[in-house]
Amino acid sequence: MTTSGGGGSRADTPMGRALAARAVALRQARGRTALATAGAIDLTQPEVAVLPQPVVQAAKDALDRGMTHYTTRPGVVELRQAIAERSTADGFPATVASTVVTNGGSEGLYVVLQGLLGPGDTVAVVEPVAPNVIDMLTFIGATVNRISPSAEDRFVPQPEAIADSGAAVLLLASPSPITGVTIPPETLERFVAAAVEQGVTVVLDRSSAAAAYDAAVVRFPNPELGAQVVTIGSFSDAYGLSGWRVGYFTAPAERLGKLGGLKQAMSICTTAVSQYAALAALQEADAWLAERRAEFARRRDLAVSRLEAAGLPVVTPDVFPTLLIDVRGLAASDVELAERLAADGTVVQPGSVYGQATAGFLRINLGVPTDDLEPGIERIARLRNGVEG
Amino acid sequence: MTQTPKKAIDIFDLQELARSKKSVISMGLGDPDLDTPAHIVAAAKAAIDDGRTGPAPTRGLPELREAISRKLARDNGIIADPETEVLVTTGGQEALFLLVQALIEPGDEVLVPDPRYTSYDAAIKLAGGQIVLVPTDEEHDFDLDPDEVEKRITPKSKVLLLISPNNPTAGIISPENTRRLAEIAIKYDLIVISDEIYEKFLYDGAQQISIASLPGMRERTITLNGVSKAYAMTGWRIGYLAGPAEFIDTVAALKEMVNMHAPTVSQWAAVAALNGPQDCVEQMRQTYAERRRLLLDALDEMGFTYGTPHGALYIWANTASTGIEATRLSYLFLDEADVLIFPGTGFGERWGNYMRMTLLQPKEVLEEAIGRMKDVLARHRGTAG
Repeated sequence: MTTSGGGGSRADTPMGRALAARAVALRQARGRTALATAGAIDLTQPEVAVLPQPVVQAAKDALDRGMTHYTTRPGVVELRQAIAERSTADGFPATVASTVVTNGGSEGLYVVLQGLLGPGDTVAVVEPVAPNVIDMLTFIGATVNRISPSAEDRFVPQPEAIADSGAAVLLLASPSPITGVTIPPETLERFVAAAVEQGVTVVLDRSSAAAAYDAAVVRFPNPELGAQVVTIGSFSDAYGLSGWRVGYFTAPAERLGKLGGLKQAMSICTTAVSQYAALAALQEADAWLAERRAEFARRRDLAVSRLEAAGLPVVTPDVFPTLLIDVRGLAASDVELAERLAADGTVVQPGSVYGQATAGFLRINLGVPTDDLEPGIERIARLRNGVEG
Repeated sequence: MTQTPKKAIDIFDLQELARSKKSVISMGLGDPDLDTPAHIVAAAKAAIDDGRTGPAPTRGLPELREAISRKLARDNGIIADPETEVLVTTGGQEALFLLVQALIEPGDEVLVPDPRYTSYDAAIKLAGGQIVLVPTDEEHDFDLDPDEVEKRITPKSKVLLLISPNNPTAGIISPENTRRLAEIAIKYDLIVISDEIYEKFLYDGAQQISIASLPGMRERTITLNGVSKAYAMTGWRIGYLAGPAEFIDTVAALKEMVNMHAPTVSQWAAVAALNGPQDCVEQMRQTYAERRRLLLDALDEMGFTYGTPHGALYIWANTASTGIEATRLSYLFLDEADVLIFPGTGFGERWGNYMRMTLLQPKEVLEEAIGRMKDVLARHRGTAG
C-alpha cells in the first residue's frame, strides 16, 4: 500500500517531521470519505437561500458607508444589543457586554471549549454531536464522556445522566441541529440545575433556536439559571447566512475576559459586512423568516407523510432544516443503508456519524433543491419495500 | 500635575480610557484609515447581488486560491500549487493561530524576533511552545542578525519566525540576512514562518526578498500573507497561507474544525483585490510615505530617536532622550492631549523606552497630533526623569 498525501503517517520531509502529532491525528481523522458522487441526488447539502432583501440591502449599504475596517473586537454594538435582547427574551439573559460575535457559530464553540477546557479535563457531551465538535475536544486534549440518550425518549437526556460525571463542562444542543429535537424546557431546566449544582459549566448550543417551527419551544423558563449558561448562536441555518460566517456566544461575566481574549487571539474580530447582514436579519427579516418556516413545514409534512406511509418512522423535528429517519432493523447498519442508497444515486447521512444515539437513523436536509426532495424521499421510502419485497 | 495610576498601564487600559474620551486621535491600532478601493467593494456587491454568498470550500474558493498562487509567483517568486499548497483563512490572525497549532507541541522552541507582535505569544503559549526571543536593535534598524539567531538554537528549536516588514519596529530583514537565515534554517532543520503581511509598504527604495523563494527553502517555509493591510481590507478578514502540501492538509483540517471556511463575500472581494489593478496599492504606499516623512521630521524636532523604518505602517520611537518613560508618556499623551499611542511594553517586556506610532491618520490629523504631543512634552520634559 502506498502512502497517500492526505492520510498517511508523517512524511520524512522537513515539514512532515515538524507537524504536531495532535494536528496530524486530526488530519487523519478528517480523511473520512464522503459518499457524494457526481449526478446523484444529494439530500445532505441545502441550496443557497435567496436572502431577504433587507439583508442584501444592509450588507451593501454597510459597504457603501465604508464598513470595511476592523469592528470593535467583540463585535458591532448594535448587533450584540439585538442578539442580547433575543437571548434575554428566550430566558438566557445577556447584555452587550456579555455577547461576543464570532466568525460562525463553530468559531464561537471552539473559543468557548478551548477557553473552558484544558488537557485532561473531562467534558460530558450529549449525543448526537457533530464530528468537528469531537475533533475540537480531542484537539484540546479533553476527555470526552458521551451521554447517549435513547431514541425512544426522542433523544432527550435524563438529568440523572450528569450525576457523578466528574465533568468540568457539560455540552449539549437544544434544539439539536442534528435530530431537530428541543429538550422540553422543564427537563432542560432540571438538567442545567443539576449541572450547576455540581459546579459544572453548561455550554448550550442554541445555533438552531431561530430555526424553530414554533418559537415558544425554545424558551427557557428560569432566567436566573439561564444567566449561568454559556450559549452558542448562529445565523447559518435559520437565516441562510452560512457562507457569511457569523455566529456568537454569550457567557457569564466571570468567563468573558478569557473567552474574549481568546477570540481576539484567534481572529481579532468578525467580518464587518457579515455583522451588518446579521443585524438586518435580526431586525428586518421576521416576515421572510415566517415564510421560510412555512416552506420548511410544508416540506417536513410532505416528507413525514410519505415516509410514514411507507412504514418508515421519523423523528418529528422542532426546527428546520434537519429530518431524521428511523431505519433500524432494515439493515445491519445505517452506513450500509447509506451506501446502498448512494449506489442508487441518493446521498444521505448515516446517523452514526453523530454518535451511538443516532445509529440506525438516516439524516437528510429539507433545504435541498425542491426538484431533488421528492424523488429523494421516494428512494428512501423504497428501502422499506426492499425489505418487505 | 497629572497622577499616573499606580498599576502599570497597558494597551487595553489605554484603549479603555480612549473610549471614554471624545475627539481622540488614534495612532494605536494597526487599522488603515483608508477605505477599501472602490473596485474591490464593487466586486463584493456584485457577489451579493448574484447570490454568490453560499458556503465555500474549506481551503477557499478555487478562484481565490488561483489568484493567490499567481500573486505569489508574480510578486514573491514563490511557486505554490493552488490545489494543494494554499489555504485561505479568516484573516492573517487566524492563519498565524492555526499554523502555530499545527506545528508546535509542548516543549518546542520558537525563535521570535523581539520586540514582537504578541498575538504570536498567545498562540505559541496555547500550543505549549517556548518562546525564545532574539533581540533586534535600533542601531541596526531592527534588522534580524543571523548570528543572534544561531546563538540561540538548541536541539528543541523547531520554528524560526520572520516578520518583515516588522510590526512594531517597521524594520525589514535585508536580502543578505534573509539568505544567511535560510542557510541557518537548512543547517539546523528549522521550519520558517515568514509573515509578509506588510510587504507592500516599503519606503525610500528599501527591498526585501521572500525566503520561500530561496533554494532549499520551499519545503520548510510557510508564507503568511493577506489582503488586510495591502488593500485596506482589515474588516473583511481574509488571510492566507502557502506552504508544503502536507502542512496545508493539516491546517485545512484545523480550519474545518474551527469555522469551516473564510466568509464567501470577502473571498470574492479578495479575488478582485489580487487580480485587479494594483495602482491603488502604490497610491496608498505614497500616502503612507508622506505621513511617515512628516512624523519622522516631527520626531527629530522632539528629540525622539528611531531605527530607520524601512517598511510597514508604524514608527517605533525611542523616548529615552525626553527623560520620560514611554509608558508614562503614552498615558500623558492620551490623558492630556487625546492622542492614543501604544507603549512599547505592549510588544515585549524590555521595551519601556519605546512607543509604536501608526501612520494611519490623514496628514492634517497627524499634524494636529504632533502639535499636541509637543505641548505635552514641553510641559513634562525633564520633570519625570
